[in-house]
Amino acid sequence: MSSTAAPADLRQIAERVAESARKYGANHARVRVERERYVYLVRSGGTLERIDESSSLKLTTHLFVDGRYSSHSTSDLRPVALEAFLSRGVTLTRTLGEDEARALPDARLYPGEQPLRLDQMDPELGALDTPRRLAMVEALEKGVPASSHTVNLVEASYFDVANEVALVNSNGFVGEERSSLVSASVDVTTQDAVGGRSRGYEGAQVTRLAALPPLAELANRALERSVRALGGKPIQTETLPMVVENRVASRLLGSLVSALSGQWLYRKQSFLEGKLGQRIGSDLLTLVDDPALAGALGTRRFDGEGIPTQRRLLFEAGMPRNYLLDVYSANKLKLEPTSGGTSNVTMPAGTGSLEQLMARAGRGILVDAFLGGNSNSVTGDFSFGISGLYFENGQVVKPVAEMNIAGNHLEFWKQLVEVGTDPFVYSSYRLPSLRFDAVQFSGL
Amino acid sequence: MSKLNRRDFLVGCARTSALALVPGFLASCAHSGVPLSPAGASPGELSAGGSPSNTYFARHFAIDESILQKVMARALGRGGDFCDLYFEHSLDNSIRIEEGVVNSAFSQVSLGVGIRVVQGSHFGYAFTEELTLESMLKAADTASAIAHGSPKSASTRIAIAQTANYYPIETLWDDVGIDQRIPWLNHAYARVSKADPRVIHTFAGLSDTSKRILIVTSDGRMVEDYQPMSMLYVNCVAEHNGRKERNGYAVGGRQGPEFFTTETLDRAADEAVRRTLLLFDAVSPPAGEYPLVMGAGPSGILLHEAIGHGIEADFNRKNISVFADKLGQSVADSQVTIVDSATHPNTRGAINVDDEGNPGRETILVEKGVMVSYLHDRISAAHYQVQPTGSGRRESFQHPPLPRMRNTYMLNGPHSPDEIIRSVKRGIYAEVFSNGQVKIGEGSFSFYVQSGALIEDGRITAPIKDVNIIGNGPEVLSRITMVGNDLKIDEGGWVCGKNGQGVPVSQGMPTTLVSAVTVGGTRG
Repeated sequence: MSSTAAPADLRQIAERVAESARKYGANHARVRVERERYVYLVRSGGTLERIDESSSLKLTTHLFVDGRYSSHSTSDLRPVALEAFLSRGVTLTRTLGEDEARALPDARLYPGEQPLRLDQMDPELGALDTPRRLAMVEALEKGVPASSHTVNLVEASYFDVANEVALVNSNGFVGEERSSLVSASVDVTTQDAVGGRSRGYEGAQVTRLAALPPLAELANRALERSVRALGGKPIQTETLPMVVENRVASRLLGSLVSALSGQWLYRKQSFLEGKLGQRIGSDLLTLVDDPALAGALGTRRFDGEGIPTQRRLLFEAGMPRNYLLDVYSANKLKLEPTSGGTSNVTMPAGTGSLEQLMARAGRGILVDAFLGGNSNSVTGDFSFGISGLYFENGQVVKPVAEMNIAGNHLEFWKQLVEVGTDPFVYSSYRLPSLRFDAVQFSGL
Repeated sequence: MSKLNRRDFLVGCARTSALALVPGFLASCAHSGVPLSPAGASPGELSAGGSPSNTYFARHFAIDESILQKVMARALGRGGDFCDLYFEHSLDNSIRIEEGVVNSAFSQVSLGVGIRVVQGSHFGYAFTEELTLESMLKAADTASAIAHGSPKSASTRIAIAQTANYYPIETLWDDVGIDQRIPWLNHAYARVSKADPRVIHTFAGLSDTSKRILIVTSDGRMVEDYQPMSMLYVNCVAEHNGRKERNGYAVGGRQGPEFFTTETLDRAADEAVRRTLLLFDAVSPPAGEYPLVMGAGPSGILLHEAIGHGIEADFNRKNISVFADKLGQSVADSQVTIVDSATHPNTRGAINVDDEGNPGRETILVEKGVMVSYLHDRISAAHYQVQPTGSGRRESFQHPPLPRMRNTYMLNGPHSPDEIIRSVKRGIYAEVFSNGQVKIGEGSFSFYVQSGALIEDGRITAPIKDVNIIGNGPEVLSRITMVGNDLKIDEGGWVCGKNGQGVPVSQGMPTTLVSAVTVGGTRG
């Protein structure tokens, strides 16, 4: 484990390395130094199964040398080692072909010196000792209530991570960020009379300890999920209404959002190429990237390249509004960079709870888990495995499993007919539950 | 950072060459005119005796027996059944070509040691990236927190174990500079770009890893290994009548630079183009239950998902796998024999030694339809009181080992591929896959067919693409009704993820018929 150092030290290292890279012949450099400390505990079968604790340090340098580019990472930050690391990196870069699109962000984008923002770092974590963490994971495990079903195993995990980053661009950007992540989760495996098993998961990831939901509540829901899925089977192949539970909605929307990515666009591999402002989905398809939500998992002031983050419309009333362009893809496409990724993807509040969405769907399938599947970024075709609950008149009839849904993103989102009021806050995709009118389910 | 004089620089260069802060393909200090043998073994060391000598970490990091003993004594300071130390020094490199120019390169150096203390089925784990005695003792102390007893001592004698060599290579990646690699990508790129006027974009990359590991256990075992890995992938986008399609192909394994001959480069390029262009004829795949013919080769993804994970002993020890009570029982037709092996030369799943220090070997999982073994790590082997199967693997020194697959495949059966296809009235032929997943308790699994074809009246007809296949592991195994005689091990690159850890694996399969499985198409 590395000795502890204040973030100021990371920044000093990054600044020195950026300067040194130029000394060795780089015209420009970006340097990222990141330190991560974590503690990870697992209890299973009534005892502590795993205790895992370490800290790691990583330095990544992006070198821009005479119109050429390469990137290198190391964990050896001894000054002598770093000098050699940079010298070789620069020499290597010179052997590559030129690519004028590789560049740092335009310095005009930088906001100037800003105070280190600390609200993404939980001060409580520093004072948290092992006995308290052990008590939490034990409470999590013991929170699973007695059940009339056979419980094969309860596994409870807890971890927290403290992360410090310094990012320096040699054309005038210096950024520092500190953040923490606290995670609690429970897996419960139950078994039915014929030996069928079901594993139910419930968990929460938050930036602050105090934001964790009651641990017994997580434990309770994990058991509930396990039991309700017991005996799930495919039903007949049919086109049906679909309700997607908030916590898994990112599986569908993530593959739509990734088609906004510049890396697919400049490679002519996005089905959203040329579609800005064109309607591809229903009025309810509005997605906003909000990087400033206090305490949210994806909150950040600058992106991985040092571009300040901004609130940005991704989709508005069914129309793609902005691409996700890092500096390279923006240069390739001769557009302005917007940031190559998202921070917190949000949807405006909708009109009902999960139960209300199911009631309005009448008969259909509630998808509470996806299994495998993929989406083709070039054509928009997708096919995903699902499991969940078959319902009639909004009431659960039986669990279903081992079925697929399929469609094409350019048509599928027209079926979005209702958005829930229940954003899932334990993810950087803070999506509500979604209701679709008619979806192709394949089963028997 | 102080300015170094020439002498300091050279010393630093020498030392960091050993510490491998160098992208492997940058011929290290040779660029500044100093002939320095690259970090680690020379090719001669590799070929002599079949495996590298057990001295890499001693020579380059001064990890000697007295240090090892001190660290293990600290790790067992609170008791425990045993402890192990996993030293790793890896260099990952990749270069990419796009729009005709090799325009980016990436490298990463990983160096560290992971320390594990095991008591029963419980363990403490910690790693450090600093190979100083002080840091290692601190990590050992952290890992020891799992145990609550009186100090235990490690074996006073550490014996160096020799290994087989399942990845013979002629040249180390460290010895091949980037200038020698760039022409390979240029060649593949040109071949794809010129193959057909419909090709509008090409993207290709070459990556390689030189990983050196040293495992030392408190019961006195010590073993080193050099694990090379390389992969060339070619990605192709084509446009025809306003419609775009993409596909690709990858070749590689635990291969040395000599693997990338003109013939190999051409084969990868041609296959990427062929796979892309045929998609223009693709029709919508059906939705519902159909017979499925798995083509020879990467179709082993079915075994990996339908039974492989379910047979990893940790899930069975905990009674959460659908296969937990099936040992000794019939799980498939007698045509079906499934093997997980570390010994196929130069495959991604080949390992001379697992990450707990046990020799790589072959494990029969299902023999003539009967499930005969789990895949074990040390903890589960002790639990079941069996020999370890050499399946304890980990992503890096930052992770503890788990029972994992290596190269999972099915042995040949009695049928010809033609006979199998002819037997299907209306079904699906699956050939190219992108990803798979399994739910261990339920046994539900799925894999994504990037491209394949319809089978109509016993003949392969129109191509299909982008369709997910889903089913239940034990159920689908029991529906394997015909096994072909054309076993092929996939040459592409697969990474298997478990508990947040990725490890390289490979898989194989003869042409095989599954009588019914759910196909996730759009035509209901």
